[in-house]
Amino acid sequence: MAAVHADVGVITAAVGSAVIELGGSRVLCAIYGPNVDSRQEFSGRGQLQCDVQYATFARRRHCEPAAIAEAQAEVAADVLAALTPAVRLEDYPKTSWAINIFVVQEGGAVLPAAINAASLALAHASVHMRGLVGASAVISTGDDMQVHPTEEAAGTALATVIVATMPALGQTCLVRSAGRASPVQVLDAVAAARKGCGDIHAHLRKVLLARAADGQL
Amino acid sequence: RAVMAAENVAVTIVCPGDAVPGDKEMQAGPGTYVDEHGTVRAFVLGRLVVSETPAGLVAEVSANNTPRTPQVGEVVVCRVTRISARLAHVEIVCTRGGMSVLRDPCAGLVRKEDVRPYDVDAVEMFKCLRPGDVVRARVLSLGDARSYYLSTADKDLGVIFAKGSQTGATMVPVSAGRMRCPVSGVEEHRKVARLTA
Repeated sequence: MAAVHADVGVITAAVGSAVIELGGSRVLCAIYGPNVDSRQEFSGRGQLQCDVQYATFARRRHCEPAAIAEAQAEVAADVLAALTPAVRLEDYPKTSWAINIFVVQEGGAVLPAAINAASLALAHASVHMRGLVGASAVISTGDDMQVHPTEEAAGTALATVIVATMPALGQTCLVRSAGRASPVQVLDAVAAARKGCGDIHAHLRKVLLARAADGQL
Repeated sequence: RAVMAAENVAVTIVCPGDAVPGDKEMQAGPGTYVDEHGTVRAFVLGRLVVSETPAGLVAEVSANNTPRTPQVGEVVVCRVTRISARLAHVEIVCTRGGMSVLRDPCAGLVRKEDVRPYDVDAVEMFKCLRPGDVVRARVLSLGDARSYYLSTADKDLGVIFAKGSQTGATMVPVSAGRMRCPVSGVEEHRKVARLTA
């Protein structure tokens, strides 16, 4: 499997935090909460809020601020979509949790790295979760598929498929596909991505268990 | 040695989503839940303990004491911000009976009828709770979006710290309904918490 580096507890001021390096993308995530916000309507279920910020040097080429803002909003919406099924929001009435993601470097695919970082940080913050979420991207170049693509590989892709699952429960949280590919290629890519999610999940588990064993929850 | 023997016991640490090993007769204790297929799984990262109770095997996962919003039935420590004839508005500063400090205080209120357990019609708020007092209260309900609903209607609930209105010195409790300023000797009415040490 391509190199994955993950660590927790990197931001001491936050309730939970994690950093992930995957396919050339480097992403930090900090969790803050539980917040009681009196401006929100009373809700029997908790809420997740996600904010994504790109570093000014995150992209190789200079981009218009509008394009960056659009990418940030899109990643935030997808991270929420992937993590909402996993968090037991019914345990947090009248409460919200804030997921703050900072993209240090954009590699092949930022979204899986962001989802993995958020999942790890939420577990580190002891937020109640049904299962850990693992996410991975697969690119299809017509003949070939590559899991966890790097930036140069992603440049040659015809289609990109991103999948987030909870491997412990065998359930899928998110499927996103873009580009052009035949139905068979898309299904093959989804299957490969699901396997990638399982590998990532195993790695995330290892990091959490190692930290807990050290007594540094 | 006794210490070494305790350290040799295997400790299972589990991640969210991990299934608790064992037969189906396991019950889900704190930190665990039952999924659609009946498997007991952990929902936090922590130490797994399976204990035998009269009801059967119970699995429990304990995480460290993470910050938490006030829970129904819990004792909280709060500071009175303003009062009216019917309500006392407070900001909740500590939860878990005072053991856990909140990052950001949240709002609560004590209604007139929840100040003390007897003679609720004749409650004069000014003689029970005043702005600036630190109060020990119990959470009655989540209330509405703006405030938690709290109660001080118990012997060990009520004012635990107050300053004299004339001198500003810390007052000393005299009885369940009065506190005395040690500098001026003036007694003021408060709903005092009786804390057994």
